[in-house]
Amino acid sequence: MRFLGHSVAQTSRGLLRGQLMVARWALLVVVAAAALTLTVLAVVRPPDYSVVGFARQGVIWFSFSWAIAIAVGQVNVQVGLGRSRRTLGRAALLAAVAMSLVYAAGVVGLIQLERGLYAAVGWEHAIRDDVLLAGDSSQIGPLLAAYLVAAASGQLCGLLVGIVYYRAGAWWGTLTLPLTVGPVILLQVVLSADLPFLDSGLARGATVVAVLALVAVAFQRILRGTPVRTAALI
Amino acid sequence: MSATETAAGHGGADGGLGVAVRGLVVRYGSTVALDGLDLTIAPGAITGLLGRNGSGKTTLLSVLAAFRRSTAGVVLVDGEEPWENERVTEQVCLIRESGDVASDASLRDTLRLVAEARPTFDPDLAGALMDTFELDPRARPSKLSRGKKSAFGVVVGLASRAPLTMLDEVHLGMDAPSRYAFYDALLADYAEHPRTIVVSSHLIDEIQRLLEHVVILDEGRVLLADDADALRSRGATVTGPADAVDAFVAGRRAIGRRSLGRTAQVTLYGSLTPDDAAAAYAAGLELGGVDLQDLFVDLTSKDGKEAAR
Repeated sequence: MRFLGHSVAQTSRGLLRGQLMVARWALLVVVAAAALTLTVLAVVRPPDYSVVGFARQGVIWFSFSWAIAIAVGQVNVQVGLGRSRRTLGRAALLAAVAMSLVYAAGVVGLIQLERGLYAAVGWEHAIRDDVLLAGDSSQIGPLLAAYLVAAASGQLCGLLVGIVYYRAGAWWGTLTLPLTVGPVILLQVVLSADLPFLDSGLARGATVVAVLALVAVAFQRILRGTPVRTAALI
Repeated sequence: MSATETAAGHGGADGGLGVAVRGLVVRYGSTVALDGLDLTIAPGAITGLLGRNGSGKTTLLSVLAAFRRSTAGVVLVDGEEPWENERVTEQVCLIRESGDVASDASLRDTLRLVAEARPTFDPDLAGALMDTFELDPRARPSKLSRGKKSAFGVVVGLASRAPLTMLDEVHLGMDAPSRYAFYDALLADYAEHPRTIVVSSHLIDEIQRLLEHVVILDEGRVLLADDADALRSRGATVTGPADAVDAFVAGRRAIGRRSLGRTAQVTLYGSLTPDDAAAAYAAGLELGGVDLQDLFVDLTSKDGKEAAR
């Protein structure tokens, strides 16, 4: 497949190497924070909700931050290595999807471990985050979908924010934040709120895919024409 | 292969990519960085790109490496437009003083990345140059001094062995021993692996021995492009007792003068006739090729520009 040419695969592997190492540490932090919280709660008041489940916001904004770093830091590096912006854009999107899967699978896996732990000590386990698709923590599919959308919105909007800052500078980067970060908020609303015009799963799913695709296309289009700055921003 | 034979910008059989630029215009807002520039860079040779600050050197190299897009004009590297053309850009390596490497990755990891991306990369040469410049592979660029960062740029630039290698003021931050080690390494590797190398620098005195061709830019246009030897023959240096030198150069166009005690050296613009040379020798004077630095300073002065155009 042309989209996944050799240089795209090679570039995305390079981008993933660093991100996977960071993701490992991030998930370890989630485990440590959850263990500490559960230890305290076990003494004070045994919980009836998933503590790990609250990691959704962390997944969004951690992914968002790293994607910004990639967008502003990799143009100089990859174009300097002879890669085209097209290759970098495709590799960055591929890495974003892969990392979204890693974060979603990681958090959902931890939720299921936590669920097993709760069952062992006789506690009730439910997702209290206001994600429409998830409530019952035993529903792995909807949970995965919810966390995947969370991570992907963070990753893709981070890439978009980063490339606008890189190409257009601080003023335009800041002025366009409602447009570039807006999709993260929009998708949280789509997945959480009771919207009369999005009353079916299919409509919500289609909206999510359309918004993410729009963000991805915007990132690619802005990246395509961007000149390499004299010095990388980071 | 002469420069005119490579007008289409194709590479020669002797290695390296040719460059052909016609009517190149690059604007930054209302500022014109390159103003209808025409240029041919011969493949398989070392070309010096000289020019005063703001003359458009970095912009030109950036367009050739697809770092930025031109506003107008034709740019051919190996016969093709380089913009978003990976077949071309994977063979083009532009090293800038600012460095285009990840600031938080170790030098070892960066070289691994370069090796993956550059089919012509030589890890042995990279290792040898890392030793020459005393660079710690575990260090990160963000922790390096300006000189060490420049040295690492040289390592990447030379070890990549890209068919079109462009070094943009890359050695300015290096100390003198490192710069001379760089010049020696460049010449030694170029002799074994000929390719097209473009060196942009203000340190003309130091790099002039490397150069086979010279391009001088001024205000976004090519002021002069010629073989280095042909340029040197555009004038002469006259060295000897100060009185005899002054007598000989009287009435000629002197573009540089140095004195040491009673000895003087004057650089003249314009070739000397055999009679002039004979007169100089008879007066006990030594004649040599024109100094490129003096020529550059003169040509980029207001009067020099008029004369060159």
